[in-house]
Amino acid sequence: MDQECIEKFNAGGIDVSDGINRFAGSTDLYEKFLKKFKDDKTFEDLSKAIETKNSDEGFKAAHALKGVSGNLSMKYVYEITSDMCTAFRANEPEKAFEMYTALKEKYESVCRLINELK
Amino acid sequence: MPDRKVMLIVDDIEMNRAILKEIFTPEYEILEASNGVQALDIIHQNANEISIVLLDLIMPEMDGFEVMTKLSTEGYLPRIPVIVITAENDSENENNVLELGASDLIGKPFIPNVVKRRVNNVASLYNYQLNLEGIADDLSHRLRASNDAVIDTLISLIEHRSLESGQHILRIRKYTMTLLEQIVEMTGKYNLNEDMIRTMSEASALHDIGKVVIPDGILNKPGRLTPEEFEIMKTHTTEGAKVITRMGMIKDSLYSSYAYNICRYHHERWDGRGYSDGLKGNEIPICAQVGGVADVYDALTTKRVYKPAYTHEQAVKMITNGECGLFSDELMSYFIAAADKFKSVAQNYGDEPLKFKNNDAKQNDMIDDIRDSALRLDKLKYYAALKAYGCTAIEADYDRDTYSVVYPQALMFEGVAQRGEITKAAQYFIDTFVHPDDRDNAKKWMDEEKKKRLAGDMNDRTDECVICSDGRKDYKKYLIQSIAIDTQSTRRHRALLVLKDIKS
Repeated sequence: MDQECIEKFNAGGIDVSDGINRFAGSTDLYEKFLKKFKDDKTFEDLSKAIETKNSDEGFKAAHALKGVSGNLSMKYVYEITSDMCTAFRANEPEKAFEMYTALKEKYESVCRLINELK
Repeated sequence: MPDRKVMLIVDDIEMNRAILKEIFTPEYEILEASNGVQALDIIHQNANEISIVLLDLIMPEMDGFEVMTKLSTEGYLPRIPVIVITAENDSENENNVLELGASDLIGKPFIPNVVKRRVNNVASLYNYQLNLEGIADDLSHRLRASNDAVIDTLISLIEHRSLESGQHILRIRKYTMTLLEQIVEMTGKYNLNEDMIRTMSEASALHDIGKVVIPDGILNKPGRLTPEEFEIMKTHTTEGAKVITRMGMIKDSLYSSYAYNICRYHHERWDGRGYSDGLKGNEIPICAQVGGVADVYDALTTKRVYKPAYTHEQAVKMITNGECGLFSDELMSYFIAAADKFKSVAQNYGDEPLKFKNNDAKQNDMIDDIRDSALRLDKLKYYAALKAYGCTAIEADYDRDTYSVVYPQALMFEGVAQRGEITKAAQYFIDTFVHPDDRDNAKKWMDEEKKKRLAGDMNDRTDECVICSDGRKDYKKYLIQSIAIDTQSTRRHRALLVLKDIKS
């Protein structure tokens, strides 16, 4: 990842230096898992749960996505899914469902950034 | 202990495992599991190698809580530390997880360095504890061995008022242990663990201690006992039990209660027609049942004043036929399964006159070991270290201008005394053994050495020197080191001079 790329990522909600730290300093490993994120089905599961208003499935998916985005230092995705988890836990699934739109936007922009990685 | 430590990482999310793996390779060899079932499998198969487990809580198939519970009941936790790494790091989970026996709980997302340190801290603590256990085990074995030898001898004396059958007690203990181990191999119904077996076997040594109150005339009568004599003989069970009660807590209450039971009940019969209390069937404690078999087998297969020795085969037949006391069919089936082992004990530990000399030597060694004063032990360690380093070591006292060769005992430099004056000896040494080209340098080094040490210099000094140890042939490079011996007194100036052959 060159400097230009790093700055784009930082601007787009992926804190690169934090991410590399999480992967014990291995840039290669971090990049590998960023690319793998494309294949991650968690967001799909979450979308389905939102559609069917299934709060159990919604919580599981939000929690899983929170973990993954946290590890990859995807700040916005992490924050929103975090809030969703809190809402689900407080038995306020409606609040969580409402956050989906904002989440989708951040999720898609992160995916676009990753697609640019060689 | 294996060289590289093995770590098991359990998490259903591949990324999480990958991050942890990255942190701990190559310090640890990494095993992975993606759910609780896999984790338990791996632990069962690799229990002796695994140093530590990192466990996630939320997983499919079997979650971390269930894994912890199983590990706890299966008894792995004292040996294998488990650190839970989870996103569920609220205080309720923390409490639950720690209650279940986890060593620590680390929340996700984590800082790699922090995890590394916490994991290593826990692992080295367990390592230290296990090492201690090993050392303690060792010590307790030796103490036991020395105790056993003494006890066996004393009891034999009491029992037979003669020293002819010193091995009898040893055999009884071995028969008891053999049969108990056979039982455990074949059934779990008596809930016997290793500790209990060991304690019961030790306690069986006292089974006939009641004989101390039986008159010689009866104890050593070569012929059949009259009914009255037999009644008196029978009392050795209850009298023995009294002795044990009076002895109180010799070692611990388990030992005492086994000893009491074996002593009092080893002549009971399965049908209730034995003595002293007429206990029937399973009223008879298992330790006493087993002790009874051991006693009768030994009595049959050894010569006694009132009978010759029977063969192993005859003894087994008589016992299983109920000719010498009556035991349960079940116990007899275990006895038959263990019969071969009984036979080897009988053969390997047959009676011979007590070899006092051997016993003395063994016990003296042990007493010496225990008697080593802390000072002597330290000195021994010091010599061992020098020996390991493979050098010549000389203690120099510059205030008195004296030296003394510490190691090796026989100096290889001929003409140099074990002790003497530094200045003179150094001069002689340099002129005799140091290569002519190196002599000036060596003299200078020695002069400086004295000067600096007397001035209070505590620094280590090193130099190389070409020396020929037998004054004639091959010169070799040696390393000469001087290490100050800190005496905490400013008026004493001492150093350790170390000469080491450098492999060139």
